[in-house]
Amino acid sequence: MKPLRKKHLLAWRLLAVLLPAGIIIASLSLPVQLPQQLLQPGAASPLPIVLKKADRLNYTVAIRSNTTGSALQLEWINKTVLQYPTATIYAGENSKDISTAKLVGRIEARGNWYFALDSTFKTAGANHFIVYDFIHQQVIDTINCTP
Amino acid sequence: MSASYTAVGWNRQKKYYDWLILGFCVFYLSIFVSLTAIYNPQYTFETVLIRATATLAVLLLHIILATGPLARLNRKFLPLLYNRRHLGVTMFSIALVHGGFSILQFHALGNTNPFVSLFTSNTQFNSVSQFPFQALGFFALIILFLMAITSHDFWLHNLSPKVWKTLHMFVYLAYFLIIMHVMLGVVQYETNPVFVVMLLAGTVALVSLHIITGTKEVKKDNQVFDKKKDGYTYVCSVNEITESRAKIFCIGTEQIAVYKHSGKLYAISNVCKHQGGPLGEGKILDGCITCPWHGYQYLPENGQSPPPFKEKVSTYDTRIEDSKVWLNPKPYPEGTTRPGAVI
Repeated sequence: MKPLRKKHLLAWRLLAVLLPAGIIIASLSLPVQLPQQLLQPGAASPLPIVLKKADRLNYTVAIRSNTTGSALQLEWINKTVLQYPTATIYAGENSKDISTAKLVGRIEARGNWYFALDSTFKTAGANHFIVYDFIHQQVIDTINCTP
Repeated sequence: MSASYTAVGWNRQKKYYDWLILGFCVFYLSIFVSLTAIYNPQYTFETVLIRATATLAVLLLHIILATGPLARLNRKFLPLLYNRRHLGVTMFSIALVHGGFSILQFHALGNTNPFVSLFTSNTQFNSVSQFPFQALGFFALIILFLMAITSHDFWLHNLSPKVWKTLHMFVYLAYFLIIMHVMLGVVQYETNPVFVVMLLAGTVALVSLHIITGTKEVKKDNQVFDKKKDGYTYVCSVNEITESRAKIFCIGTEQIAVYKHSGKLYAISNVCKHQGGPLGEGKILDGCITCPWHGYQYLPENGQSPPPFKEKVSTYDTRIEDSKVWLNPKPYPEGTTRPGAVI
């Protein structure tokens, strides 16, 4: 009993070191996110003005704004069910490298998705988006929105 | 405790707790699915199921790992400890649903074997942010699987308590793998901090709980009893022991539980023959010392399980002088009858 208790205590002392270390390391590697709140599909309504748009076979992507231009929004509309069950969208420079891009949010295989963007978005990657499958670690698509 | 092996020893209490566990799981999953249907109606059923089972399994694992120290701090948690194995198997089953659906959803749609795809689709082991986190979950699931299939007493007896205990201590590795699976997986792509905060709170609470109770227990184990006379050691006063309950004393290499029962004090080994449970933390039920872990029973006067069971533990002599309890730490052979000290 005595050695068993000591083993348990030792295991937890080890976890007390390893868990915070692991959590801190994982937290340090979190991607830079655009300072915005993920809007739930049901709660978000599209802003009235379409600034830029890109059309694909399976989905449409648009950057929208309000009438004064003070609010920006990324609109993602899945026209058909995506082949990927889940994917992330990054705003980046004109490349396929997500390590320098900023995380906008996560989309699912179907539905309409809206992400609020603020003014920093304009400097975060202009109108270039990377759609990334984080399970298989591969770029699904890169999208350039056009006016 | 069984004279012969049966599938699972379901008594009334276990049935009650099993229904409670089932009810809680159904309630949790229903709430999760309903809220998702309301706030995220476009999620696919597979996605909802993967997330619901993931969060439920992590929650249950925290409850399971907290049960031991909580039961040491407060006896009201002992029923949870008594039913911990059923909760463990339930948690594994839920984790299995999560793992199974994840493999189906993320790896079964290509022309590669899903298990091959799991390990080859992402091989960035040198990257933290893009680490193949699914492999961590897979290995944790393997550990939980081994624990679940060996949870029955059949395996405890055939593997020996030492091997069985060692195997089941791998739950700590599984816990670490699961936390890292979450931190390197969903957390990397989740913009809502609530989930991370909840996970951190659970981890901190669990580690603190174990360190506090473990340190307390080890300190108790190392308590020095220096008042000795004629081979007996002074341990406490009679009033410090509650009726039908015990106090545990660690003298030399012996862990002894001194029970007060029907006007007498009896001393038996504190270590249950089943899984090494602390007999002194149990109580006397129907005239038998009952282990708090899984209900194994022993008669206080001879340390023998009541017929037809055959387990036996060592007994010891006690003496009372001026309401002071003296204990002889020399063990009698297992199952030896001792008269007990009259109070």
